[in-house]
Amino acid sequence: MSGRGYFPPIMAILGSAHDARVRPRGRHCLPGLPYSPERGNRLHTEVALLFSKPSVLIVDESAETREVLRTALARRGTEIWEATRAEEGLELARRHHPSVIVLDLEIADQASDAIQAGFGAAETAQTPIVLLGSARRGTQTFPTGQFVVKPYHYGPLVRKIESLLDEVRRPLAEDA
Amino acid sequence: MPSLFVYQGQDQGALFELEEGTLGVGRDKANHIQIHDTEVSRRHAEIRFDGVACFVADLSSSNGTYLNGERIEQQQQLSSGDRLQIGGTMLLFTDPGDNASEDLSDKIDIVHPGPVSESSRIVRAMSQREGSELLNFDFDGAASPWLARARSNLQVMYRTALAVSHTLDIDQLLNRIMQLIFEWVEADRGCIMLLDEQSKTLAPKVRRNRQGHSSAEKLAISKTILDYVVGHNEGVLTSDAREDERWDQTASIVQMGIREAICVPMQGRYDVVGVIYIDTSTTPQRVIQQRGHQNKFTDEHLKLMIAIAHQAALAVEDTRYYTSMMQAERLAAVGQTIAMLSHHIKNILQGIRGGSYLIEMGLSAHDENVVRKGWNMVERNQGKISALVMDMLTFSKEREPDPVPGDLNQIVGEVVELVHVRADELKVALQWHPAEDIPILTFDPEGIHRAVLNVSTNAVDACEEKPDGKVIISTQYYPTESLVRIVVEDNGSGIDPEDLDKIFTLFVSRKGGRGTGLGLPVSQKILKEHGGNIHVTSQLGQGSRFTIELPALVPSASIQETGAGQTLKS
Repeated sequence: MSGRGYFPPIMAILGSAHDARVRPRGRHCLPGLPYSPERGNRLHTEVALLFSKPSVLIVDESAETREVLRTALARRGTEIWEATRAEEGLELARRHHPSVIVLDLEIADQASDAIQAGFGAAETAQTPIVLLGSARRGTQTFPTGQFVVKPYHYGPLVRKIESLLDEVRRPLAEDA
Repeated sequence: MPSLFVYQGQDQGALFELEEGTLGVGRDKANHIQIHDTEVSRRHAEIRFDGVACFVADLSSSNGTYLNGERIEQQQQLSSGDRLQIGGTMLLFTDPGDNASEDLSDKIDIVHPGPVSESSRIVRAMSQREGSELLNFDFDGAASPWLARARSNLQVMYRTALAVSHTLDIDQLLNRIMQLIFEWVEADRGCIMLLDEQSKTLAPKVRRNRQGHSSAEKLAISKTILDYVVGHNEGVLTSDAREDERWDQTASIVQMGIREAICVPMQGRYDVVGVIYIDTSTTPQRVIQQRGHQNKFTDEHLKLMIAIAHQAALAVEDTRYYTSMMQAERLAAVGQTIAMLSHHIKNILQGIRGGSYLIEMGLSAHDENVVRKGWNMVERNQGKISALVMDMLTFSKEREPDPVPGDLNQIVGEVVELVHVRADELKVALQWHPAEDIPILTFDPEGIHRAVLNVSTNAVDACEEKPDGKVIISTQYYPTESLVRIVVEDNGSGIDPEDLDKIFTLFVSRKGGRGTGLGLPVSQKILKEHGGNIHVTSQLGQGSRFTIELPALVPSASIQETGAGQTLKS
């Protein structure tokens, strides 16, 4: 049970209908489906996964970085959202709930505390974040963030993003 | 903001600005002021700044904390110029607020002459030069020898103060001091030794004889005397004449003569920085002639030497402090330059890696579109790195402007062509209006190309987020003013009025990751070399207008014959 997923559109529909105590973190349920603690969670999660396409939000000032990642990730059918500014990126994250967020630390550093906290919250809600930048700054805001130090090679970065996407979708793959 | 400056120790040159609150001082990384010194405890001391005053307290460190040489037991207030010793590290405390806290212009008025306030008038005026003549004797010295001596001493001190007041070269400073001493006292030989900060040994810096500087004769100074002077921080007057009547005076004096010496410590604000030594000898013949010996050096000489040495020491300390301050600033500037450049190079490298990744991906997937995308990216970054190098070369003195007669419209036209690629990518409309009446002019085509390119690229970049971005580049010729203008106008993001005066500052860029902070300073440098300038008007959110002004130098017939090699400034 190592799968992770975050599908807040569905969560939003669910609202408070579900008991937070029995719903494990990172598992989400659909309304109208029978719920049982033994198999219910899993079923709900997987149905939820069926609704969505894997998606990545890229928040980076560099058009080139965005272009390379977009070209590489889109080949696997991943949906891509792009933002050049932190506010814009957080807005997209809230609206589309991407499976993975790629965030340039330089942008994050310039952003206000509220916006940084917003990204931090997305991470707490189990959206993996890949941070591009120097050293290990921002570890407090992003405790589980995956740091990639600049200048990086795109091969390993793309593989890292893809493996995070796989982790999110693993529950589905296990059943298939 | 108050600050601590490390003037001695491993961290020499480091400047710590003290923010409000309590700041830890120690070897540990967790300290606000981390000192790399094994004699410093992990948590050694604490500095507290309450917004008004700074206090220092020792945190039961093993080696203690010293304020101006005294170990502190409890919290002490710091004042500007205080010296803090933590382990083997010396820090200087400076608080600009100490003096600047009140605006003195409120307290002191310069009253303009008016009918009411004209109650004071000038009774006597005296030139600056006459200040020193305060000390000249214009009376009968014999009537009051004490007063005469006092005046003479005061004059020596006055001259010492002048001698040490304006030099940044320690050797030169010490030479002046030595010279002054020799003018004042009848010494035969003298030398100044400075204490080496690291090895704590005395190293001779200046040596002088009555005849002049150099002499083959070796100057032997007793180590016992030197140790005494440095150790006790006291000046000494020595004589090898036997005071004791029981000795057979004549024997040794006839052989050796009498040698008298004065050796004084150079006591600065904080430490002994060195010693000054002078001596004189009386030949045996002279002793016999005089029938008994009269000392040449007196207590008075010793006192004055101590005073002179103190002045010299203060100057040595100031010079050292100033030098290390300069070095710290220079290092900081070099550090900033390296940080900026490596940042840009890193971004360019990132672009090249992106491009090659795409090419590799495209090749293995047989997708020509991806390959092309990657190739464009590599090309673009290659252009960026060459622009960066060219800007750097232009900014340093490597590249001399090379003015030749040329067609300005052609040069600007080439730039427009280059910028077009970028403008198309960003969907920015680019218009080019060359003036038709520009004659052949003398200018440095490469430099002007660079400047126009930098300004135009900025204009296009400024329009990136505008849906209907537009850049208009035009040339205008004003024969009566003998001037050409290259005007680059955009309707892009504009420049904040606050930033407007900073745009020509080196390494200041408002273009985020894309800007090097070199483009505009370099462009302005090029134009200044041409005797021209760049003017900017801008409105935030509305766009900017850059006017490049270039003196229109119509090549005379002779220049056209000889071609290049004429300087523009003539």
